[in-house]
Amino acid sequence: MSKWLRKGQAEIIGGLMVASVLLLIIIPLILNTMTSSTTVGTRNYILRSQFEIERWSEKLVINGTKIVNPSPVEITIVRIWDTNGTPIDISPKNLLAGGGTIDITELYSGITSIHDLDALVTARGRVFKIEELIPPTPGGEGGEEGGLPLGLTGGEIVGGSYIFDYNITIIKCIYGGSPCGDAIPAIYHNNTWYVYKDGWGTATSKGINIDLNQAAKYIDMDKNHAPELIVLRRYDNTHYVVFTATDQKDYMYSVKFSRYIRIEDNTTLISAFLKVVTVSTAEAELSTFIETILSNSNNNAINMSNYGSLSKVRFPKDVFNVTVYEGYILFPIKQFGYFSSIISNYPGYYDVIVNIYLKPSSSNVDMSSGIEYIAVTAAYPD
Amino acid sequence: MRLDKGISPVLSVTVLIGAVIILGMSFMAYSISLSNAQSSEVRIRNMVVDEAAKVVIYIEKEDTTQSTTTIYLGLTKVIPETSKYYLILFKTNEYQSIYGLIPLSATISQIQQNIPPQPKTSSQIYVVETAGNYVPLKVLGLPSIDTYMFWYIPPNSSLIKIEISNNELVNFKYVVPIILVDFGNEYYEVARIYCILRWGQ
Repeated sequence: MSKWLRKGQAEIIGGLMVASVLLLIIIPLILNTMTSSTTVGTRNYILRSQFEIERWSEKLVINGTKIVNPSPVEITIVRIWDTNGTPIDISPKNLLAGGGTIDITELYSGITSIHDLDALVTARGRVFKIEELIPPTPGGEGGEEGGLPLGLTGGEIVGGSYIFDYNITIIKCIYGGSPCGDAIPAIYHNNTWYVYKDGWGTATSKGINIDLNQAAKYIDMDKNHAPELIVLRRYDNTHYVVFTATDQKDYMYSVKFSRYIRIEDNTTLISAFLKVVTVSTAEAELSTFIETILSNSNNNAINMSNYGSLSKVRFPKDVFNVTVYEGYILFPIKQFGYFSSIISNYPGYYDVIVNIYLKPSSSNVDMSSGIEYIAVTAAYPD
Repeated sequence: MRLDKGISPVLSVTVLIGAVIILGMSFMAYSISLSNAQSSEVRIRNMVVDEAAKVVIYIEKEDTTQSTTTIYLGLTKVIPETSKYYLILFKTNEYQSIYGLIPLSATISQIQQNIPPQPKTSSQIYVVETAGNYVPLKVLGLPSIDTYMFWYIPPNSSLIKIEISNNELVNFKYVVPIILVDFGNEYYEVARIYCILRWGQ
């Protein structure tokens, strides 16, 4: 081999050595950079996707006064929005996965019912509007819309266990021109009598002694498996359901559902849907008059009665004559100046008061009456 | 002389070896500085990506009156850790493009407490353009922009109230809050949301 060739070979070998050294330095550097980026990216992807799965698995429903977490993940409520549009940071409330519950009143001191709340915010950043958490009324005919009779949602209809969401008082009870003794609202639920006396509770826990044999006949007056809210009155140390009319004495009572509905100043129409059941023994018929009143804390009130819009069905059931009044009472706010001025000047929460007047057609009649459900909705302009 | 003949190659070798050492050192110094710069950039990029993956923003409530639009912006994190963020606010008609962003003035508050604006030069602020690269905000031709500093303190999500006069929003489709994180006095975008204006253009 010539001397020139040998010299070139050495240079090539030297060059390869230099290139190898450079590659040995640069390749690990690039690989290190790529690996660290990939590690960070993978870790973040897993963390974020896990978070998003948990976030969108969150679900809440409202059952009476309870907020229930039926979802497979634990939910922490960190903020609430009240109906005035004010956000309130609360101390975090954890709801365990698969059925954890919390009472609405435990969220914040000023919150007493679902009607005080607009939305709930979770620690994962989900916003649950209260109106979307209320389960719809069981469906009927007509596909999906069949579940929303009369344009109402289940939560707007107060009856059965939903009664316990409300402060209900008997503000007036008059029999034969005299006040009834200690009139209190009561309902039979889960094989127990519940009464409202400084809050809801079992009759036993509230110290109310009910004549159970007599009351048992009036648990569900129209026998449709939906108990009515009834009025108990005290005689001696026992509370009774029934009034025995002598000399065709009149009986009237007035039930107040406190802070039932929030009415805005631009409300155009309010409708009250209700079902009232009356029973009487013998062949006596009860002349019945039903009136609905909306009243605020300043005693500004509007009232409407049942002329024409409540259907009336009378039928015999066991030893009773049962009469069912069911339908709606409309308050056309916009059409009547007095209504309009009250509502536009005093927007806010209103109590709903139902007055029921009964007059038997003959004497010596056992009679009673109850409210199976009530719902009040307000309509606004578009 | 025979010795003269030997000195010359020794000198040449010394000069050559010296030159090689100097070149080698320079190359090494350049490589180290390049490597450090790259590592530092990668570290910042990783931190920004890390932060961006953890931050979750959402609209908690939106309220429009005749004169004002109020947006309640919620911020929470995948891993609950106290962090400081900055908000900048824009309006635009172009979804996702940064080039249509126009700064928007608003009143910003957090839990009834006003957050005062802190102007920052736009060369300090980096936002993500359509291809996913971070570009300094100065590409929009803005010398500076108002930033609003706030804290995220777990477990409660942060709630930022943004009140904008409707006059500012005429002919615009979106309000765009962008959340920035501060790394070494430079501010990098970690979250952005396009709030559609309900009352239209």
